[in-house]
Parts: sequence; structure tokens; C-alpha cells
Amino acid sequence: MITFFRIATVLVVSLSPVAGIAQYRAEDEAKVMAFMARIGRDDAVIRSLEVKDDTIRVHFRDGGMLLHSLLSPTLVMYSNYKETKEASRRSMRESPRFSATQMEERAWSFLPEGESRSGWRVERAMGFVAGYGERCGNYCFELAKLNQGLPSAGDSLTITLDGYEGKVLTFSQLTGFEGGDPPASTIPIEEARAIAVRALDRIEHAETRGWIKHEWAAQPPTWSQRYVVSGGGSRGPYSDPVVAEWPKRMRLRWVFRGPGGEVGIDAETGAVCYVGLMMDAGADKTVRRPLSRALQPVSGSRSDEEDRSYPWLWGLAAIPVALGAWLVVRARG
Amino acid sequence: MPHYFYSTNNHISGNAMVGPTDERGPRYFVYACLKVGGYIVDEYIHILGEPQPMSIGGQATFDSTVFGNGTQLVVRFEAVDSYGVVYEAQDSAPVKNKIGLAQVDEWNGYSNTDGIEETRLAMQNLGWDTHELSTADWDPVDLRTLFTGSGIYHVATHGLITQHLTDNWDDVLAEPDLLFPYFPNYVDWRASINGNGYPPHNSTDIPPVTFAFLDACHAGTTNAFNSILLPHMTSYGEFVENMCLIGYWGSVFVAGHSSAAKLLFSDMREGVTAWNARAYFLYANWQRWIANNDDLHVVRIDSWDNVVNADYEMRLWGDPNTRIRWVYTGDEYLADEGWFR
Repeated sequence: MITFFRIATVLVVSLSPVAGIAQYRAEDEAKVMAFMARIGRDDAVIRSLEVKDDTIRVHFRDGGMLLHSLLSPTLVMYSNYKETKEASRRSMRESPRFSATQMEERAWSFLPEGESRSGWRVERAMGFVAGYGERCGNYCFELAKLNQGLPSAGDSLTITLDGYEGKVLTFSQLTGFEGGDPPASTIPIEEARAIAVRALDRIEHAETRGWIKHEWAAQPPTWSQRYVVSGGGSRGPYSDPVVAEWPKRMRLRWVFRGPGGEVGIDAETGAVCYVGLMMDAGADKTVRRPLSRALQPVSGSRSDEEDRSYPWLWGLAAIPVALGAWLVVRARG
Repeated sequence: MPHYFYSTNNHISGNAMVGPTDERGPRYFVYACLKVGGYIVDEYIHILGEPQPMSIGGQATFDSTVFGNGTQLVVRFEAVDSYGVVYEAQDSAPVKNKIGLAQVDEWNGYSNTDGIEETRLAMQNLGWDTHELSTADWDPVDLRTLFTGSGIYHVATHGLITQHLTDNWDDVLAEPDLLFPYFPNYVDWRASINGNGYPPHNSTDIPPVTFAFLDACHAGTTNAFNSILLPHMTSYGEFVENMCLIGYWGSVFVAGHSSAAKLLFSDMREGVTAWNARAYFLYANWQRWIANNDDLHVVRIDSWDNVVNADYEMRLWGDPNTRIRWVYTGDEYLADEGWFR
């Protein structure tokens, strides 16, 4: 197929009055196959290749698919559903041939050219699981580049490796993100936390706001620091307007995470970068409680209605007591 | 004959045998065709010199969504023998294709949180009949009614690993709970909705789920919510065929989550398989984040700075080649004829 495609390309080059277009396709194919060689899949045979919206989109005959951005920073994503499924199927009857340590070593070998381990860290490592499902029969690692020794939202690499052959099943990589300089000074964590808690008042929905404030008061949020690109005209939900006015660059944030949400505070200025709400809305609060008592908000009409139902429960509890008393009276009589 | 047609993987067949030999000699078939809704989906034309068949069969797999929900779809087999005698037989069954959409009311009406609206827009004007719970205080009883017969099921709520909530903050569990057996759960729901037998021959004549998007935190962390796809296993222990569930692995941010529905369903309505639709979504979501880290239409998980960009963050349980438009082919490629093969 590759041979055929190359012949076809040559023919188009010689016949087309706009030779540049055909040349472009040949370059795309070369780019694709160079990437496939890098992940050890240079045996893959292209079934279709198209370029659309600055992305090369390739389907391979073996069930693989590749999306390769032509922009910078550059995004590359590969996945193979057939081999993912096969690894899962094998996991139901075979133990893995590779250990997690061996696979992690292999994951590190895919660091982009010119990068060293010391500048990256394992963000997430998922071990071998046997059974049905796409996470079964493989190992998955997410590696992320550090900035100034701290985590950053930038270059990263996520790779899933077959637990039997060590083949690459999925591969996602972002490269070319510019790092940022450390801030001239940072506000203390106590100050940042106080700003974050006050920022919860910006949540519009009264029940959600009340619930999250209540939870954060009872269970102080955890914190972390991270470099993230900010500014350039955009800002997160409920953020300070000044955030949008900053020049676009990587800046250090304090990140506070508590039940139901997360708040990002610029480490240099104390500006609120975002107040993010989660769809779990305080997961552990919903476990093991009767119907209609889940996630009871601290204020609002629903809780009032539910509270009014309590006297009925007392009435129900009184029935066996009254029955017992009646039996005692009857027995004595 | 199935009790009903649903989704994109319906199998039909017909066959005939020639009548007895008479004084003119033996007969054989010169023509046969299998029709669905009046369209020929399989055909035989005899060519002189080839073997003369005395029995003939036709079969096809087709996408029922090209016909409107509720259509009483006629399957007809016709054959003509060498003496011009026409043989014909037909039967019919209703098309049942329903989309069930439910969402927490506080997310309705905002472009970056109204996920089910994106699904409704993407899937409108196709053969699916859309039902929606988008008002306040819908509860498990409302949801069970919506879930019944939904081939596409998109629920956007607060969620956990083994349960999700309704708008009135009640639980719907993935599986029965030993301590609280009265809690509504998908295993019990599916058991009663399906009745006995395997679709499309089950006793209640209600179709199963083809594609579910549990747009809630943690719903894809384990396979607990596979219960939505019951009865989903073949007797060979294979993956389910043309049935799958997509759910998140962690805590998803409310802001931007609707983009997933928009991207997933706009691809799937064109016949893209669930696996590929998810891959395109992950890529597009990441690209949007690269262009603007604080974009309010980016789907994020666990941390505002962690864009949903990896398979494990948005898990697919079931058949990766599930298709909700154009005939199911068992792979990512469309059939030559689009809606049948």
C-alpha cells in the first residue's frame, strides 16, 4: 500500500500543474511514518490519509489511527482499537509478560528528542488490570514536563503499552509549549487561601455556593502550585478582569481544591484566575444515606421541605411503642 | 422475524424454494430480492451458464434510523422462477429509536454547560425520537421512564463511581446495593425493561441501549455502569456488539463539559464509530486548550489545568465500533451503501 501510494504521489507530482500540493502530501506521509517509526510501528500500512484543519488524519489497516497537528505547539495522538481490544482479551487468560517497572522504563524511552528525565515527572501511572475494558491488559503512563522544578500545564506525553508485547496501543504527545520565568515574588499561602475562600462568593447558583462554602469551612481545601499559561485576552470562570489583560505567558498559580470545586490564584498578584465547579459536587457526602437526603444544601427551599418531613418519622417510631403499651394494658386487664 | 427494529445493526433474511417440476421440466430461480421499506437491500440475478438455483436466499444488515421512529417497517422477499412464477413473502415490525436526555436543571440554558441541548441539536432530523428531562426536580421515577427504550442515553448530572444523582438529589445506582435494596439501580431497571430473552426478541419488545454517554463525574472509572447495557454479553464471552458506554474517569468541571456532547454527537451522527468520535473529541478538546488555556468550552478533569485528552480520562466500555448512524460494520469503515450491507 505504501509503495502504491508513493507511486501515485510521484505520478501526481509529474502530472499536476500545482506540484506543491502533491509535494505537501508526500511530506505529510513522511512525517507520519517518521512518527510511527519512533513508536515502533513502522510496519503500519496507511489505508487513508487526509489533511484537514491543519491536522493530518491517518487510518491504518491494522485499526490504528493517527492525528498529527501541523501547528506549534504540536499535538500528536495515536490509538489502535483492535490491539487494545486484543490485549484486554488476553488479560482474561494470561498474566502480563512485563512488569510495571519495565513498562515505565519503556515509557521514559519515548521522551521527545532533546529532553531529559530530570525535567519531567510521572504525573500518573496505571498498572496492569485483568478483565474486560480498554484499561485491561496494558500499562498507562502520563509524563509531564516541569517548569522551574514545579508541575506545569504544558508539554506532556501519555502512553499505553500492551502488557504482552510491549506495543504502543495509544500515544498522545504535546510538544513546543514555552516555559515561564519564576515570579519576582509570591504571596503567602495563607493570603492566597483567604482570597480563594472569598472567591467562592462569586458562584451564582445559591444552593451550590452555600454547599461548597459550608464544605470548605468544614474541610479546608488542599493546595498545590503549578505553572499555567494565562492572559492574552482570556480568563476563567468568575476570575478577576485583570487576568485577561496580562500578556499571554506561563505564570505560577496557587491551586486550592476542596469538595465540589477548585480555585486558582495568581501567585504573584493574588488575582483570582478561576473558580471551577465540579460535576461530582462533593462525592463522599452522597454515600450511604437514604433517598431524598443526598447533598442536602445548607440553605434553600429543598432542605426546608425535607426538614418538614421529620415529624412523620417520629410518628412512625411511636407506633410500636403505643402498640406495646396497649398490649401491656390488655394483659393486665 | 424480530419483534422490532432498532439502532444500526438489524439483521434480516428471506429464502424460497422452487415449486414442483411439471410437464415443462424443472424450475430454477432467475431473480430474487430482499426489500426493506421498499428498498432493495440484497438481490440475485441469474446469469446464463451459471448454476441454476432451486432454492435461493437473501440477507442484509441495515440501519433502522433511516426510517422514522414508529414506522411499521415491511421486510419483503421476492423471487421469480424460470417460468415467470413470482414467489413472495413479507412481514413487518415497528422501528423503535428513542433518545433519552436528562440534565441537572442548573446547567440548562448556558452554552458551555448545556450538554443535552448539544446532543439534541446534533441528532435532530434523523430517525431518532428525542425525549428530554430538562426541568427542575426530575427524580428517579422520571428518569426510569426516560431510560425505558432509550437507544441513545445521555445523562448530565452529578456523579460518583457507582451512582449518579437526579435533579432532586436522589441517587440512581449502577448496581443493586445490599444495604439499601430499595435504591433504584440500572440492573433492576434493565431487567424489568428487557424482560426475558435477548433483544430484539425480548418479551417486553423494548430495545436496549446502543450508546450511553454518562456525562457525570467518575461514571467511567470502573465498569459498574456497564449495567446500563444489560443484557450485554454474548455466550462466547466476547465484547458486546454495537453497544457501548462513555464515562469520565474523574471529577469533571461543569464549565465546558457540554463541548463533549457537541463534538461526540456531531461526529457520530455522520457514522463515525464511538472509538473514533472519542479520539476526535480528545484531540479537538486539547487543541482548543492549546489555543486558549482558559477557554470556557474546554472539558477538564480533576484540575482546571488538566484538559481531558487521554483515553483513560474518558473511558469507553463496550464495543469501540458502536455506531448510531449508518449500518454497523464491526469496524470503523462505512459500508458501501451507507445504511445497509
